[in-house]
Amino acid sequence: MQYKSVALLSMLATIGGVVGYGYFNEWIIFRNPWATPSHTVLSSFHLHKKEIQLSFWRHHAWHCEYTTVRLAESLQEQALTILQAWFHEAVQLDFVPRSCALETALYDARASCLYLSCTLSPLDTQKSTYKNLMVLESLLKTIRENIPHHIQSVQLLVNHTVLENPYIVCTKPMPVSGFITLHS
Amino acid sequence: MYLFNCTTYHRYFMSYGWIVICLISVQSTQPFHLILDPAGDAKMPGRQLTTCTERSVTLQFCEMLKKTIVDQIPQCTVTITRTAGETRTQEQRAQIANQLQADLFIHISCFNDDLLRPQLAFYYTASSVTHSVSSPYTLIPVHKSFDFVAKQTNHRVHTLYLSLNGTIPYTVQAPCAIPDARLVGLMIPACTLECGITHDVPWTALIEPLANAIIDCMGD
Repeated sequence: MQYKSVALLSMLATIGGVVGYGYFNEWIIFRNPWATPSHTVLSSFHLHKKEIQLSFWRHHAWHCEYTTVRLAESLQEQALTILQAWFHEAVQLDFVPRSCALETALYDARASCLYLSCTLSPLDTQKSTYKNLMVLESLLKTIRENIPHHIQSVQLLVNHTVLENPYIVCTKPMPVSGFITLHS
Repeated sequence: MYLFNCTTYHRYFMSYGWIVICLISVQSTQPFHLILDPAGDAKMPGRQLTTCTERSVTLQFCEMLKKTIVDQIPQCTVTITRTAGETRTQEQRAQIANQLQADLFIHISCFNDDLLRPQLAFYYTASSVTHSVSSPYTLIPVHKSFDFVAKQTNHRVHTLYLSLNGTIPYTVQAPCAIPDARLVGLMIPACTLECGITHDVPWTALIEPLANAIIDCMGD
């Protein structure tokens, strides 16, 4: 009798241990059947499809790539999605260095300056100033054409710190209208 | 009397107009002072070219350009901001140029060009707003220093561009106003000249036409 109790307790403890281990490692998930279903929460994120135009200066002319993205309602999310698409395309076209991607897009308090933080500098110091300038112009043109907001300037960052470039001053925000259109 | 800064000079103009007339007549005979700033230094090699680095080509380019200009106009003063093995920060380069009160500052830069016909581009600093200085002790941010000579710079850079365009085997791009990091802190007319280097066109082909364009600029 005593032997049976010990065996039963050991078995229960083993089963409890296995279930507990599975729960903490998320192999077993408990869900409250009366709680709000997850698909109801997801439906509150209103996503809409939009065709965007990505601009690139190549071979002495503007080239446009059209792509469809799903945009959220938040302006910051929209900017991030659109410009992530631009960076993705730019890497494919060898326009910016490989492994350069957009991490974050944030507006300032007045929503006049857009801060873009990349994983790597999109400007290649081995290339000419003109090519680097046209990378910036292409990015700014894409922003002007796809982000319907009163952005005055754009500040490029690398890993959330100031981007240092030996040819173009990137420590100050750039006018969204660009340089060539403004001054030449 | 040539060490007066612009503001002091202006003050004397207001007080002693007749003295300034004499000064202007003396200054008009002053030789043209050009500063050549080769890209890179002992610490910063610059861009990698096919057989060497940017710093060695730009230094050779500046030395040859200086010799060509001085041979043609001996009274012209040409200063190169560094010699081989020296290191110069942007602040030091700007300080040299501002203290010498030179007539023109040209930063020389080059890159490996993959095109058949190499490119040549002029850059100068974009002017933001017009400043007025009420006192000689007014502090000016380095990024705004260029605004005081924006008009003169625009004129000189376009003169250089027009003199070179069509006379050299290069595709000369129209001068472009950008926030140029190589011209930060300068309070004299300044520009960057960036030329492409290819196998087919030697960069030495640019020396003579550029020297002539600078001489044209002096006479303007």
